[in-house]
Amino acid sequence: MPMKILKKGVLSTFQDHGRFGYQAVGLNIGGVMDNLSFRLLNMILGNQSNEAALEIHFPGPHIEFEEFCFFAITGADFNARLNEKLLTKNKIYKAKPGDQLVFKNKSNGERLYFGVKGGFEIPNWLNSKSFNAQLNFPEISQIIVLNTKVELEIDSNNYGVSFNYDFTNNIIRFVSSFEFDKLNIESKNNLLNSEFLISKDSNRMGYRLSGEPLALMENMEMVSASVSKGTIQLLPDGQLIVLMADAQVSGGYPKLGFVIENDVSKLSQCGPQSKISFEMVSYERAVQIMLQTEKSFELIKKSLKLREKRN
Amino acid sequence: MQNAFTLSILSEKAISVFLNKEVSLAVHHEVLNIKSALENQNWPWLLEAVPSYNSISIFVDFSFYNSNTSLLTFFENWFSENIIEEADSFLQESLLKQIPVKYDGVDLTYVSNYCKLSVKEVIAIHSKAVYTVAMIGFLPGFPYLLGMDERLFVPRKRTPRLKVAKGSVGIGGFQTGIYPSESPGGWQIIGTTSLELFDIENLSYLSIGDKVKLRPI
Repeated sequence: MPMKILKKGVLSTFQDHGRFGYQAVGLNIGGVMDNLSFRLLNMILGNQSNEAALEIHFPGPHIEFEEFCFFAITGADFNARLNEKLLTKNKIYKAKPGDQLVFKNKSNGERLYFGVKGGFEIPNWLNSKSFNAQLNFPEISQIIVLNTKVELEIDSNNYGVSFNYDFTNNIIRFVSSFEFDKLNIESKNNLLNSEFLISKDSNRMGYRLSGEPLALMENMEMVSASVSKGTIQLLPDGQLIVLMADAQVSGGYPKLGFVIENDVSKLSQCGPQSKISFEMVSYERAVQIMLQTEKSFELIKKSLKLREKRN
Repeated sequence: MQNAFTLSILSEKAISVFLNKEVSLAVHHEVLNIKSALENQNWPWLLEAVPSYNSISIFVDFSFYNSNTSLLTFFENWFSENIIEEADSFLQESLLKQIPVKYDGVDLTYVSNYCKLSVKEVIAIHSKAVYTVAMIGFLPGFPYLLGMDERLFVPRKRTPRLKVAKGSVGIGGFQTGIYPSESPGGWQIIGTTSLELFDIENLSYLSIGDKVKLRPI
């Protein structure tokens, strides 16, 4: 095996964009929590955009390389070290057999993405390598093996980009939808003007928030319908839950809208006990932000290509 | 037909379309008609149309925005220009599938007391109906069954259980369903089945639209 895991760490799973097209049989999409950091990782590595990465939570694994490879890390800052040398995120590194990668302590963010050039060789099921927490099939359990066809063409280890979106900014933008208009006035005010604490019962499936309880003008009997990553649900006790990457496919709670894509990534880097506040944006504005992000990624891609040519 | 549908944005890449009607078999057939009408468009950006009881959610990929600016505008127009045939024209061949159920659930006595029926009556009524799989969700392969006798409507538990065993048959309000795997859950458990409802090869044993009969063992 070209890579050895000396210590496992906690809740590290392989993820890509997720498994699409099977929600009608109840299979959730899953995939990475912080899509921005994930996309950046594959861009830096020159991988195809959906190559699976290891999503690492702190404490992370202790990895020993057994073969030459190129790797990079993006997302959270866990004080990553290759043989005691401090690593910078968003940059390509070369590892040689015997090199050890460790994550010393958590300083910023919750999820770190670790990828190798050429990708990991892990089982692909229904067009995705994402781990599905709802299923427990041994056939698709994840054994960490590097792809044997790793390309070793780059001899520069100076590739890097500056891409630091601010995790510490705690304003989460959302679009109101569904039952939002049925909130009473006081609740609308509270949603827009008060702070919410991310509770410790938050995970890849959803973030439970605690704050001023919210209420609809009248109780509604809801019929189960689709939910998605980013959906803001109102629980019977008046508290909110924001559904994250492992969101189930359907839900029966009233919905107040959704957190915009970019800010789902940002939210996924906010940990339990941190405080967030909501800012309402229009659907049109949300689309605009998404298009802008797409443009920034195009620019990063271009600049990386230019540098590759120069080498 | 002006207010037949309500469109709500679910995310930048998904929109939910609600039929403004009470849950019924006819409405569910209408939902399935919409699903096939949408799929027949062969839109390259359509990822999946996911049906529920009285709504359908349309998931698209980024390329939708290469030629369009708004999901709301696009589908408001599409639904006003396209008349979806009413339920009676629905011609899908549905399979009748039998599921063996041992009526030994931990909440069977609670359900019997709540409904003011004997345990025997609960079992008889629950296993007599022919159910329709209205949607699959919550867990991979979890069928939401439509068609339960009103006498068995029991609200969900106020506080969900942390663990409901694999194969548990439960009642949640007007619906009944089966847990294909162990999970937290709030439904009233009245029985168990040993039938595998989800596997890696065939995925879900049941499909939306299937007819289901529960056979007591």
